[in-house]
Amino acid sequence: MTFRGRVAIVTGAGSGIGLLAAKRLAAQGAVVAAIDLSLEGLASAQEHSPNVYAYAADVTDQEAVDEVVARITSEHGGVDRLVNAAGICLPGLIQDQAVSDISRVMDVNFGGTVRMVKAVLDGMIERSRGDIVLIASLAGWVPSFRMGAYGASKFAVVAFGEVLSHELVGTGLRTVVVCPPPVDTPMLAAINEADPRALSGIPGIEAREVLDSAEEAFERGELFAFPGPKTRQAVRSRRLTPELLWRRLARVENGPARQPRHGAPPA
Amino acid sequence: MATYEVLGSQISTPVEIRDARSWFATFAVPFESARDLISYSGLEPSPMLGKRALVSLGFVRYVDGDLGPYHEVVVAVIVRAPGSKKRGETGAFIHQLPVNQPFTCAAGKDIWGFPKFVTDIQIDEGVRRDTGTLTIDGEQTLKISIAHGVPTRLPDASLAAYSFADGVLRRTEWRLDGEGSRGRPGGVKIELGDNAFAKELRVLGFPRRALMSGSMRKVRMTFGDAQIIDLTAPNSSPKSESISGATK
Repeated sequence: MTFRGRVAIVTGAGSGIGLLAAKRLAAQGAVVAAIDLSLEGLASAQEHSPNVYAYAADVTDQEAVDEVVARITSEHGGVDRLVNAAGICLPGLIQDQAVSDISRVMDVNFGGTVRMVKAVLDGMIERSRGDIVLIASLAGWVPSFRMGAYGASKFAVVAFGEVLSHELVGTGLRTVVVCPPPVDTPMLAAINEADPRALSGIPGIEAREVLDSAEEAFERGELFAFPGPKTRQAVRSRRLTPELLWRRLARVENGPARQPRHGAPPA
Repeated sequence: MATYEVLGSQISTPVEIRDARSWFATFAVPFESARDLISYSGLEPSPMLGKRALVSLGFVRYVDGDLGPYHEVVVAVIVRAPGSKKRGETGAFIHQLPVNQPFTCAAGKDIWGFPKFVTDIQIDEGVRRDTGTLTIDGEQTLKISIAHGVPTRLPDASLAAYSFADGVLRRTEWRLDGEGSRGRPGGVKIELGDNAFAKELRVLGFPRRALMSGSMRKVRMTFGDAQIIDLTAPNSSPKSESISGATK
């Protein structure tokens, strides 16, 4: 698909996967509306790239989201692609986390996805055209210690994206939900600093692999993208042998201890 | 090293490209037609087996670098380094260098005299092949489709890039290294249009089979300052260029 002159919105474009997505779309000649919390944070997305336009908006603010999408549409035209990369991760044991922190993760990661998708959806359906890329996570398939809030938010994104794509069959719109393992971004560095045991220093894959996998998924007509070498395998083992997976996770977390039984999966 | 003002922002040499992805294909073409093509520059192709010259076609996706994000198509002829005493010392003469973004176009022309112009360039990464499509004035001009080869190791390279603009020949030191090289013999499909750009390539016998082709997943590059080369001087050693507006 040629992107020249097409309009793309990228949330979380200030750093990490969002920043790279904005740069790649700009390289392809797209008009990129880069959204992040502050305009200053978007300086590197805009550097020497006259077709990247910066917009400040908080994806947890319904009014701000509606307003910014309306502004983008009036300034540049209908949105051809949404890359929803805005997200946060507050790692920690659930018993140690404040309800407000858990809600905040949910509100940015899941709520932000819902608000952005809803804001562009009617326009895309009207024009029978549009790509929706949701950056979810492997944590949306495989829960793990200290990632309760994040995992819950990404499970929600995965379910939302899956239902969305099935409901959009026949509209001309395409949806890809990308589920990467840890990615080498400022977010991963922040997670490792906040709680070194959350991901136990798993090296991140490159952001480029995440975006490549999304393009491949579009090309193959697949809903989910699982970048990284063992990502599919991890999803499979969670589905087929969850107890075994938790035993392995528990060994890392607190040595060999008895884990709760899951019972047989529903027939 | 110098600082340049390009479209209102400052650029310093050496210019760094921190992240790019590149695809290339090398062809052996008739020596005379390659020589005629680049005769305007005063350079001569480096002869291969007497009557062949090497031409490289490539496309690049620049993602993170001092010149911003953009796509580029390269047509280069491997030339004999002017004034070199050693036989076999070569460089790449950049004959065509279309890009799809205005900032890099202005910078490339101002700093190094590269033959850049802005047009539509599309790069599609497929499951088995990656394709670069150059469209000029709405007309599909050149389509290069490169098969995914097998993993290879390429040595880090430093080469001389030559460019010719407004009667001035320049030489730029171009360092390149990266990860994720793939390559294979052949592996290229070429489609040509009918405009002047495509006709030049037809004269070289394109569409033709490639000697080899490949890609590099993560490329880093640095471009130094351009040095003006005076081929008429008795001892044509490169001298440093002074550009008005440049502060050294």
